[in-house]
Amino acid sequence: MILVLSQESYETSTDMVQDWIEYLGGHATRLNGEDLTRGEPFAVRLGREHDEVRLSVDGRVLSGATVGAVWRRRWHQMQGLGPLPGTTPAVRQLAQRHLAAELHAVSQSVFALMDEVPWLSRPLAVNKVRALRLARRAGLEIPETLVTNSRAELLTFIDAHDGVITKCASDGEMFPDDQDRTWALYTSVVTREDALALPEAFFPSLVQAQVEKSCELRVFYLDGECWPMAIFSQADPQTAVDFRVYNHVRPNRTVPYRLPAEVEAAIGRFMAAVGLETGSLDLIRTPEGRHVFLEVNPVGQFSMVGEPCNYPLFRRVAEYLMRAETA
Amino acid sequence: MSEEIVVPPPAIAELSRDPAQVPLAYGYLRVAPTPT
Repeated sequence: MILVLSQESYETSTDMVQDWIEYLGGHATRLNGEDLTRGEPFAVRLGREHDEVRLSVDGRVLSGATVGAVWRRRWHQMQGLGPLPGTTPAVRQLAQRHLAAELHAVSQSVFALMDEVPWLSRPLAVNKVRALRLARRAGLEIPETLVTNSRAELLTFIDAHDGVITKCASDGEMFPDDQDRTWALYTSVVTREDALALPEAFFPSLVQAQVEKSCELRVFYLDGECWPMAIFSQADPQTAVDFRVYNHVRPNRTVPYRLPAEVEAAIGRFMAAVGLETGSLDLIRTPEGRHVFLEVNPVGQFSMVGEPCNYPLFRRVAEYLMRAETA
Repeated sequence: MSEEIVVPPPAIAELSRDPAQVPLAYGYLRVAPTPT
């Protein structure tokens, strides 16, 4: 049985892969991160010689011994504290942070008992600077990058490049407001005027040389194969700096793309170095035809690549997991 | 047709008020486009 670790919502790619596993004669059981905090019984037991993990999925008991492969697709847990009117905001904040750490450790305890079976993939995130260094070592071009808290350093960097962007060093976040809108952190241009308005020392931030684009590339990688898609984001000012500022009225055109063999080989070397069997990579194709690596997301959504390009990605992931289960 | 510029409400604007406390990216928060 293939155990799919995921979350309850926004997981259409996961649903489709599970469909394919069932269609191809396999069996997948889905465990969402929320399941561990909802009161359904589970147990991780370490004995003198043998260990056991038992999970409940919709009232059915599942033994870890029946798991042949694990697909770690997503994992989301939210255990909010109740009102606790007698406490202070400072105590509440510390307790909330500690609860998150406890839940993370409990999840890791469950995962530890399935260490012996194949996983797709292990890390859920790769540090951006580490990824850039490994990509460069693998033969991919990368943008000049600076992480700094110094206005003087930032101004020097801006003066040395035609344009500079900033983005989160981590995955970013989304914030709801009181008008049912969501505010998001996108890649944004930092001008010299912006930098001059900053204090001499500011919060540590990641900035990069802005790379001129003819188009953006989203590449889904699985087990040595690249499935690239070109995104024509440059004709629309809304999407020119970051295609994820989606224009839903007039979406960017997306088409299948063929990577040069040497770039595809470099991506393979990079993914091996970073320890990923799968992931979604973002690259830029410059007007001169160079390919510049930006970052990799081990758990990126891939229906956005598979569907417009007519790539059989859901089936390929299902087949990979079924092969892993019987290996 | 491109998005309109939206002024953040106070609770969101407060996030980017002090660059000593948040990364530069917080200074460029924008509304995530939602399918109509």
